[in-house]
Amino acid sequence: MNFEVVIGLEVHCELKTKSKMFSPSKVTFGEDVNTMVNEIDLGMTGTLPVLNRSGVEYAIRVCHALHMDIDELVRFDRKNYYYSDLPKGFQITQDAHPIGRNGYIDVEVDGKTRHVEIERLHMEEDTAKQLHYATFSLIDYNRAGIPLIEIVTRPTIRSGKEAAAYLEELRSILLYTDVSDAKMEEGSMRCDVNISIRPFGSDKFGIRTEIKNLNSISNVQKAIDYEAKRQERLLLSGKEVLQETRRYDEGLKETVLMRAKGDAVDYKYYPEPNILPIRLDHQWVESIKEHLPEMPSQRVKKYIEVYGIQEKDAHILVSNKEISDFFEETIQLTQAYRLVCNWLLGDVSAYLNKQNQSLSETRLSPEKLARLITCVQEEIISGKQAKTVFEVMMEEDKTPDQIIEEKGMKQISSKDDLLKMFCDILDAHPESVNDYVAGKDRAVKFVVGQVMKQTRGQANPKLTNELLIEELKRRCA
Amino acid sequence: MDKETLLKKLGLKTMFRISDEEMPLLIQEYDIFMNHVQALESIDTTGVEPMTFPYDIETTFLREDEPTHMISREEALKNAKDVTHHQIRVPKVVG
Repeated sequence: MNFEVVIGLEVHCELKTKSKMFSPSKVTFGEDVNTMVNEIDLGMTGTLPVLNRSGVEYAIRVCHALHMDIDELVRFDRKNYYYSDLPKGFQITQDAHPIGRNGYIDVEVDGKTRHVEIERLHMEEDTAKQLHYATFSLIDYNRAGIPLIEIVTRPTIRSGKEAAAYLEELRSILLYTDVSDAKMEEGSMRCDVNISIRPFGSDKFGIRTEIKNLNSISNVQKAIDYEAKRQERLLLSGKEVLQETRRYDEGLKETVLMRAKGDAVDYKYYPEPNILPIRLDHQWVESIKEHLPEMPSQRVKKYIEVYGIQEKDAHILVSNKEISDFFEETIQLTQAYRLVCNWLLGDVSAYLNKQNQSLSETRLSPEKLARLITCVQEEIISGKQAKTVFEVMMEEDKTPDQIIEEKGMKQISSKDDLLKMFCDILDAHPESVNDYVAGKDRAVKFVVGQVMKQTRGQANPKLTNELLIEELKRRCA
Repeated sequence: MDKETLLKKLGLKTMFRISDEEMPLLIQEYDIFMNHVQALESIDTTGVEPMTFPYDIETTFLREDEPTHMISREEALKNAKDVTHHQIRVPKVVG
């Protein structure tokens, strides 16, 4: 029997606001434990939560980018559960009235466009971080209260590959809307998977399992592929899939049982009594849409259609926001779009990989790169020399012009100077003209070699060749 | 379950210690409270929307995103029974 895999994804994303969702303590990462907290984060009695404007703004930005309907009356609910990562005993979240509904992302999978429907986006707060030891756990409340958005798809995803493509695109959107650093390995973006299988053609859903603890997009794909196979094996051997929560074990490359459905908690959701419904200013919501930064899919389209960049390269450029932003700035200074792209994806990326750095950590600026490209275009230096200039530029705080000057790299592009040099060489080696007449290539190579030797490689090679052949022809005639 | 057992169980869950002397008074108050609830239950609420807030109002205030108030780590951990490496130490219950 052939089965179809049915997948829905829940993504949590930490917002990079300055302060927490409901309290004015600082949002930071990697600070000393329990130093970024106040009474509200610790769930002390007598405190009241007050909603952060930027938290709402960032959520709206993502809603717009995902083409969602926005509920301008913001309401919160309490999700009650008793666990040590939650000092209040409940999490403030949006259950009944999420801020965003009905969105989508179109992704390309194996050359086909797949429409992934998004059911909802809601705002909530993060929990405290627990470190588990053999017999006890330690709690750091710095993370408690950091703004989160949760983005939930409908069960419209059909393969691990498609799930990975969706997550890649969603991650780019989170980066381009500038709301999060969206790092799965660091937990600022987290993904839970709901997965079931059913016979092809069936319109009923099978029994689903949930997979948690996925720390990279590639692990999401692997976990889905494994879990679909596992469910298929169960069904084919006459057993049934049990509704349960599993986690992906990277070492085993398998999903393993975490808890069965019997342990499911009743969260007793009810409206958060400490936050009155908040009516957002319609003009404000609309202005957030108007000021939405350019989205990755729009950039890809623009790079291909306006700047004539190859589709594959356009996708690579856009996949790294920093590089794409750098490209945008550089092409304000030079129109050599494809050359800028080639430099960024070639030498610059190679350098970044080798040094394990990001662009902002290097000495390269859009001005320097644009100038370097212009120098090559204007034949002040050769392409080969440009690579040397680039290397120096990355190591020393100098402009391309300074480096060219210091290295004495300026090409000799004066026709008169070059012509005089040829004539002297040809006069001294008349056999070269004879060689040329006899159709021997080495004549040209020999003279060019001599010119380069005399100029220490600074003669413009293209011009040198052209002029020489002209001169030889003249002498043969 | 008799009232005394029920109240003891609730006390345990909500971390209130109830003494034997307090019990008769609590049982009395419990009866008053339950009568009150029964009186409320007799009201016909068919077609009435539940409400969360005493007034049907909307607000517009949003807090500016500035970190303006934090407390020191010493203060934050003062109430904790068990602190290890500046963190609150709790029994391990992996959820």
